[in-house]
Amino acid sequence: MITLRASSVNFSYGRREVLRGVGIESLEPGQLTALIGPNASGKSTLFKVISGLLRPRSGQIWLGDTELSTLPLKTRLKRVCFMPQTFTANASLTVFDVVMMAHKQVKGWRVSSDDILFVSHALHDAGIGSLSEAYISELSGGQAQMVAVAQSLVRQSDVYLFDEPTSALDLNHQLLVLSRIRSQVQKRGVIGIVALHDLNLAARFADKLILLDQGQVVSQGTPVDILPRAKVANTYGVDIETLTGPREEMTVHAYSI
Amino acid sequence: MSASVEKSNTPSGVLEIVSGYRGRTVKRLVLVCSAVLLLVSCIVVDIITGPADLGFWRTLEVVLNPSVATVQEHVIVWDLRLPIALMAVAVGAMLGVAGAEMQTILNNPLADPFTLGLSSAASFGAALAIVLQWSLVPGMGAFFVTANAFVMAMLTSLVLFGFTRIRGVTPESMILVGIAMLFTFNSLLALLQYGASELELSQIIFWQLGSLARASWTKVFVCFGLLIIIMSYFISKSWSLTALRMGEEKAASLGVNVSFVRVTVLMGVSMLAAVAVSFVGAVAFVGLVGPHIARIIVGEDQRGFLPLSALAGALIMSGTSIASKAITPGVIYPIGMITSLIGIPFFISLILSQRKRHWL
Repeated sequence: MITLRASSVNFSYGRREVLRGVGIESLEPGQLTALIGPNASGKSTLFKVISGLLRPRSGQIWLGDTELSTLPLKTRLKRVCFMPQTFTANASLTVFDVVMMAHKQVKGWRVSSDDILFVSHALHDAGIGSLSEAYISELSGGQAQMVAVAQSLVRQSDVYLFDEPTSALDLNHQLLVLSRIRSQVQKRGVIGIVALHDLNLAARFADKLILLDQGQVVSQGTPVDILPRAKVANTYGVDIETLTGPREEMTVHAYSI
Repeated sequence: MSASVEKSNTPSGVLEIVSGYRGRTVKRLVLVCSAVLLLVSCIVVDIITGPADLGFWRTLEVVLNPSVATVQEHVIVWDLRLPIALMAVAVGAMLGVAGAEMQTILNNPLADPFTLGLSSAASFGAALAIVLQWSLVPGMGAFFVTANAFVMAMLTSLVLFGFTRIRGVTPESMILVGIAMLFTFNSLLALLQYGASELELSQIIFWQLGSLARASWTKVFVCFGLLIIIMSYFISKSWSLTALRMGEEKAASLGVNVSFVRVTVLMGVSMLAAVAVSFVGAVAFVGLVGPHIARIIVGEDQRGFLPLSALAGALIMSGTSIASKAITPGVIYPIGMITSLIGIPFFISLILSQRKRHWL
């Protein structure tokens, strides 16, 4: 079984240390992990280090038997699909164009009928078929985010990293997008990590949580284990109460101290 | 989500998406084809327009079968009009492509050879040759004004490269560097003009206004050769360039080597712009507007954007070449003036009529 694990990963921007000895216990295929932590705790940086866009000062990241830094960057980026935080772009490109671009993995001028059908299916399944011919510069923040998720899911990788895929979405779409990510992760048997701010969503959708604080992994485990702990409350600087909701799900309530 | 799904059990929503995209692809193809047709007719009109009154059929005969021509007709068609008409097309396409890719890699709608200071640098190089008789490249003989212009334009883009290599320099600051270059060379040019004699001054001004009269077959071949080489590189990088418009980080996550693409494309763009400007003078507007017209019509998928930017640039220049001869019969106006005077009202009407907000 191919698992993703990391040991003592250090990264700094100049002299500012962002990741300090980050270790990730093996993440299994078919599992969705939520990366949680306050602003500037290093979530995005960790994603960029895993995907290879940033080179860590030290430490190792293993995907199965492969230490990722031994792979050429292009190969690595094919195996690890990273969705950066979404910003609306002002380009005159249609939604179809940008998903096709991700599907083609930036290769080959020609677009075959199979490519067109494949991308059309992806857009339809992602529930953004009606936006297909809209320009991305005209999308709302939430629509742009759904397009970005579709752009990632259209690729075939072993690891999927989503940086805040739901930050601009309304309630309904938050649930839709996360269940789609989770079901795709299970169906494809791949490793998925989502960075989330909403602990309730994390509790509901993630099999595992990794809590990051000031560049260090404070704890990792199942939501039921982690969320009630004082460490979570301390990391965020709030009081936390967890309850069992009306449908047997765990709900998280935060109170300022 | 298999790639080979049977048509019969494909949901209708999917088929709608497919037909939407196919429709747009067909529309794009039709537009590119009609631009090609329009360009061909412009070239034909360009060749039959001029002070000497040669009819359409006679001109066609001379073009297809040069042996039937009188000496005078041969000179007019083969030595003057054909090279000028083709030069207009080549230079327009070069400036269009250069502008399109500058705007793409610098993520700025105002980027073009003119705003980045390449044209002013070329003018300054030419002025150095005209006023001080300095030749930056020895042994260029009669071409030394052109050579100077080329060298200065290339030096300027080298400075721009230098800036891209410095860590933490954003595309936005590159534009500011370009504008700083523009003003620097304009001041240096003014300095040279201040000390120049009246004859030299008029030569500088004439050079700056731009003229296709300096066309020759050698230049036409150089231009088309360069255009083919650099366009094929840009085409091979078309998805990467499209991805760059989604933002640097997104492109990088798709596997685009952002700094490599940026530097090599900037190199190609500089060559195109430097050669074009040193051959015909500082022609403003084409490199800026050609790509914007293409963007409005086909969007920024490079597979349509790149060819149409070249075509739009070529059309503008070809139209300019016709206008320069047709406005006052017997007089050939400098092209630089015409591109701006005729082009800008057209451009503004295009902006105002456009519903979608991208950059404009």
